[in-house]
Order: sequence, then structure tokens, then C-alpha cells
Amino acid sequence: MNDRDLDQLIARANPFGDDTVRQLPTANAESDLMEGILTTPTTRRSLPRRPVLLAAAAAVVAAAVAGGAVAATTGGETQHARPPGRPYSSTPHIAYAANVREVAEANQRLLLDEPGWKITHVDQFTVAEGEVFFENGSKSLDVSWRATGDYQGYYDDRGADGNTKTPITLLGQHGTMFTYTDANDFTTILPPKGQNFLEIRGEGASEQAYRDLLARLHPVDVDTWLAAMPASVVKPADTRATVDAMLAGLPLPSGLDKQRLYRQPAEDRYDLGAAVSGAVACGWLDQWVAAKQSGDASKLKQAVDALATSHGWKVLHDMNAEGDYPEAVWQYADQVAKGQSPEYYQQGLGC
Amino acid sequence: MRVPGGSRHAPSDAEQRFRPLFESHARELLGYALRRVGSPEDAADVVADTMLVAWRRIGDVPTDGTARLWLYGVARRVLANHHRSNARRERLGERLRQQLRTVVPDPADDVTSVVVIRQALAALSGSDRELIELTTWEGLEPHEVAVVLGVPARTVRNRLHRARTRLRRQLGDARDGAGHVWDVRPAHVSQEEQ
Repeated sequence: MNDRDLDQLIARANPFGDDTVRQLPTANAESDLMEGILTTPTTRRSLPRRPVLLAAAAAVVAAAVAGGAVAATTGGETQHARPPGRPYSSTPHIAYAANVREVAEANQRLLLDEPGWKITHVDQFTVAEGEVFFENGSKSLDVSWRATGDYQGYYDDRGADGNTKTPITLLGQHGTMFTYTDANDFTTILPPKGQNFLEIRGEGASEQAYRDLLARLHPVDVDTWLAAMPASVVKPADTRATVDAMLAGLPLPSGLDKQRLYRQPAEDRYDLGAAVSGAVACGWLDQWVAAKQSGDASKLKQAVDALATSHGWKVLHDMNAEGDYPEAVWQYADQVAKGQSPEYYQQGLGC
Repeated sequence: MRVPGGSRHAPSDAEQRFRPLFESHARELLGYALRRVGSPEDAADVVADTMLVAWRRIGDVPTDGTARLWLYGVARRVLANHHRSNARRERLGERLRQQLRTVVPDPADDVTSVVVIRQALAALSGSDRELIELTTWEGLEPHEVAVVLGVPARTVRNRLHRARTRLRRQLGDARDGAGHVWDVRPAHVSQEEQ
């Protein structure tokens, strides 16, 4: 059998030939997907993506509502009471907020002791989930922690598709190293320890280089680990001053809970900015909705005027290059300025 | 559905680049994903995740005519990271997942010879299978596969030769004792027979 014959045989085994795929009646769904993607910020951000996506999803629901599908729910959606905030056991006299220390204490807190490598960013930061990215040029090492309950699912998944599994001893634990079909792509999963387990993924380096890097990972204490977070991460000790600076000059709605803002977890400045500006915008939008219902023209105008100033909020302009959260705030401000109901703003802004 | 507030602005440069990229290649990516994952919903996830990477890294997408290869390169990484049991919380592409679930044909009805070929492919290593599938199912030339995999074209040719040899051996092992002769028909017809 020559190559051509062999290729023809393989082509017959193609479960979805080009014509089959071309004829799938999914053009509208693909168009939806494209528009959905366009609603997401072009930078790697977790918090802003969520509210913007939810705003987009809400728009779909709103469209259905316009068609009469779930009309009975519309009024209620915009008038929900704000959900209660997460409970914190704040101890402001210490360097890091209690919830941040809680994350660190539940973590194995690895740092990489290797020249040329640095933490470039951190995604998520909860007890159950988080990622620290170490990078050195085109090479990267991604240390993730995930909830213990997800361990088996991740383990099975990493071992699928022909990836090879190799026992490995790391940090005194017996874990498993998986080699992807791409020779320069490796990941290691360690067994759960407490509330979470670690996965350490390396790309762009040989197996030996990856193993060498693993060997350079070492556990550190809580303060050392937290202090190693990159400059873009707002350290809790600085949160209060940063929040106050972000709020400076903004019209504050009644009932704004500054204490809750001071207790934000170790997010970066964009995420903190979204929390702060969102709290202010949500407060004024809450007032607008209440005033609209009660017919209080004075309160209504106060809310409209306050939200109109959002176009000049420094915190939003500082964020604008990195994502679309400011656009969402301005959209709702413009809607109420026109007398339009800011539908689904709570989902859209993460109120 | 638009970016909140987006209607107040002309489309950004990024958007002007992304729209034609998506429209030109989403269906190819969908085919790529469908051929490699276990469910249409997973395929939708792979397309969504790959295109999301393209959107976020639109400045990195090549403009020299190799965008498709770049996307395949991203998609294979997405596939490697794809976690099937992970809850699809807040993920893009829900409508695509729903539609694919109902419109994608079930390949389970294939004739025995096709099943045997698939089994032979499945018996190969992941890297061998990937080379062969990219070449035959996506129709890429070795120098294009090289771009997708990020390795020299010469390496691809060598590895492809070895992969084909191993596949022949697998197919030979799968033949029946009477010396079954494979029925080779033109690929463009046979691809669609199921």
C-alpha cells in the first residue's frame, strides 16, 4: 500500500469530513459565539469577563422577554435585593486580611527559586482555586491549586488521549507526571492535601528542564508567599488606601459599604477597581430603580446625575485600557440618563 | 448582542481583525475539534476557547496567511488542557453546544472497515496520530503541520514517514487471516460516506 492509498484509507476514517462539517446548520450559533467573544476583554482578566458575559447573557434573556417568553420575571430581575456579601473575619491590624491569609494557609505555597524566572500574574485567589504563573521568556510554569473534590476528574483527564503517566516524587509527595503528546508539555498532579491539590504545568522546556524546575520549587511560609505576589496584585495591607484613592471624588451612594471594599481579596488593581466602581454604580442604580418605583423624582435625578459623572471617574479611565468593565458602567449610566431601565445591571456589573 | 457600551464606538481594530478571522476559520476549527473529542459539546468548547484565545491575543495572530495554522496550534493546546468533566460554568458557546448536540451525525453507524482504521489510528501514539490526522483530515502539507506543531518541516517529514509505517503495521495486524484487501476509494467521496 503506497502513501496515497494509505491516505485514502485514513480519509475514510474521518468521522466528520469537510462537507459534513460545512453543512452543519450552526451558522447562527457560531455568530452568537463570535459576538459573545467580542463582549470579553482582550486581556486575561477573570472578574471583568464574568459580569460582561453575564450582561450579554442577560441581553439574550431580555430578547426572549421582549418576545413574551418570560415577561413575568422582568420587573423582579431588576429589583432584586443585593445578595449578601461573603462573610469575612476581618482583622485589620495584621498585614494581610484574614481571608487572604486563609488562602495562603490552605495552600502549599510554592515559589520557584531559579534565576530568570518570575511570577508574571495570578489568576483567581481563593482557597479552592487559583493559579500562579511563573515565566522565563517563552517558557512557563503554572502552579495551580484546585478543590480536593476535583482531583480525580483532573487526574483522569490528564491521563487521557495517550498522554503518558510517570510516578514522580515531589516535595515529599508521590504524584504523577503526565507528558502530553507535544514533547515539550508536561504537567504534574500531586495528591490532595487538605482542601486542595496542586497541578504544576510546564511548557516550552525539555522534560529534564521541567524536572529541574520542579526540583527548584520550594514551600515557603505565609508571609513570604504573599509578599512574592507580583506588583500588580494589590496587597491587602494596601487595599484600604487604594480603595480610598479610587473612591476620591466619586459621588457616594447612601449605604455604600466601604468596609466590605477594604476586605477585598488579593486581586489586582483592575479587579479591585471593578469592585470599587461597581459598588458605587450599583448603589446609584439601586437608588434609581427604587426611585422609579416610588415615583421619587428627586432621588431619580440624583441617581442619574451621580451616574453621569462616571464618564469622568479616574478609576474607570485607569481600567479602560485593560478591559470593558468601564464600558458596562457607562452603558448603564447612559441608559438611566435616557430614562431607560438598566435591565440586568446587577448581573452585568456583578452587584 | 454587543459589548456593553460598544455601540457608542466604531469597531476597534481588534474587532475588525477578529470578525473575518472568526468567520473564515470557525467552521474549520469546529471540524478539527469534532474529529478529536468525544462529544459535540466538547467540540463547541474547544472552538469557543480557541477563538477566545485568538481574540485576547489578536495582535499575535499572523497576517501572512498562516492564521489557520496558528489557530490549529492554539486548538491543540486547548485540547490538551481541556477538562471534560469540568463544569462548563459561564462559558461561551452555549447555543453552539446545544445545536451541535442535535445536528451532529453519530459516527457509530460506520462500516466495519472504517472502524478498523480508526482502531488502528487509536493504537498509535498521540503524536503519530496527530501527524497523520493533521495531514489527512485537515489536509495540511508537512511544512504547514510544522507550523502547527512548532517544529522544523524536516522533522515532520521524518516523523510522518515513521508514523505511516507504524499505521501500516497496525492495519496489517488488523487484517483477517484470509488476507483482506482494503477497498481504497477516492478520499473526497469516501470521507462523506458516513
